[in-house]
Amino acid sequence: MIEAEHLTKRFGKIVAVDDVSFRVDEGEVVGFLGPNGAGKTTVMRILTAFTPATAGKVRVAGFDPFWEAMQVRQRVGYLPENVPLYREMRVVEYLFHRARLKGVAACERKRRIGEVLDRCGINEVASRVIGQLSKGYRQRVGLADALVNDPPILILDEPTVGLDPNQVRLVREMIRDLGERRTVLLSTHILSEVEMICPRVLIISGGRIVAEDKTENLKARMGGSLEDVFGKLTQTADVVGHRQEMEEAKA
Amino acid sequence: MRNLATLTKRELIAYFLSPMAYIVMIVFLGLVGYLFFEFLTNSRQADMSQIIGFMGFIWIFILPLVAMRLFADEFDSGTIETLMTAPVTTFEVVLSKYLASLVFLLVLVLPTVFYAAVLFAYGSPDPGPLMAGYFGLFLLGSFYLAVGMVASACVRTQIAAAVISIVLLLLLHILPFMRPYAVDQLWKTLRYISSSEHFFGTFTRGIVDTRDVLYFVTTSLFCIFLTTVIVTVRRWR
Repeated sequence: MIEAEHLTKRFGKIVAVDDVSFRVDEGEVVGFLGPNGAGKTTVMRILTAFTPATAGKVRVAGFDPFWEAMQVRQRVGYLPENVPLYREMRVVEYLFHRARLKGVAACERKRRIGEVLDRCGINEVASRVIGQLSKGYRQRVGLADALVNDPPILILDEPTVGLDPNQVRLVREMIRDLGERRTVLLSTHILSEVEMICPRVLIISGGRIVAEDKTENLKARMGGSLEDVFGKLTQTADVVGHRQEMEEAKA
Repeated sequence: MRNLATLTKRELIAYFLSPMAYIVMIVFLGLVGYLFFEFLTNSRQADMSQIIGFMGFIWIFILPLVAMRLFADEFDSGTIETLMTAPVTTFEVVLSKYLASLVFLLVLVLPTVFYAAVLFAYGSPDPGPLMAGYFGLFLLGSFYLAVGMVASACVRTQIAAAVISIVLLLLLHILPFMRPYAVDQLWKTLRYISSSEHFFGTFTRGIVDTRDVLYFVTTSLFCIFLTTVIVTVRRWR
């Protein structure tokens, strides 16, 4: 469903994504891990046809996000980082607006919106103004927006940030549910979350893919917990150097 | 087409939910109302041309405040990302925002038609110059809004967008005053570029010249095109 080959993105002289290749098959839930600034958001923006790649080939649902942006956008539900929403609109108003934009048929809209309100647990705030909602609610309004046209592919940038533990569990269960019929790529910093809901992970560091494997295999191969694996793979040279210095000082 | 209607509707909602819309309306209508009263009691003539000229002048300061949020707000709050990952084209987004600002412009001018109605009730003004004046006002306003939209697409904060477009519009307005500093040929060119040359003394006198109409239509279209390019490029970086 998602294929990237030799994907590169440069911003001026800075190389944000460097020759990245990976694929996500239909019906998979894949965790996208990496330290801050590793290029996760940039890759997601390329996949969702927000920004074009400098080089490389991308196919999302069989379409090229640059040349066939409309086809890609129709098939991808995207939850951007920090969940930007129109703060002055009411939740239902916003979802109706988005459903119309995403081409949900007029007769279907009410039913679809009712469904996503239920599913994301935001029924009780449906008529509130978005700007007055807490972070957790806003996060779930963003999720409801991503789901409103029932897209086959979901790309979620840190979907559980800012949620309380109960909501986190709810959203995780929801993603696992969704993953049964859809392709999901989600980025997160919470490693236990990945172990719970993603059978496969991609780890990106410094703009490069440093690991792509089944979560289980990765742990077995590298030894230790996912946290150890992540640490080993993503630590930059100076962090390693710093730790050595510390150990030497201790000795 | 459906997207265009949906997006325009959402822009209009945003306009009328923001306090800025009402502040702009109150200030504009207050100023125009006061001046209408002054002009009328002093001149005792059933003539709106001065008022129309005045409206055209203060739009330099007022319409940038109307256009400033169009894109600056989307970039600032990050909603440009949700917007441009929905199945809509950049051109549709630009056009719908522009259309919404034009609707706002009409709402802003509409109450001043009441003054004209007062003139008709108590005197017999010439309807020709009045209609030409309002037509010119709409063209001038749509050009100012288009410039404001370009500025709004260039920066991240609304205030910066407003300042940039006010400076630009003032500059375009005062170009004809450059007479002493430019050779004849250059001065003619400057006059042609200037927006005030195409409104004051022509539309305000009731003259509808196709050259002036063409000037405002083409410059506005160019601004729409420019905004599309700027928004696309900003998204790419």
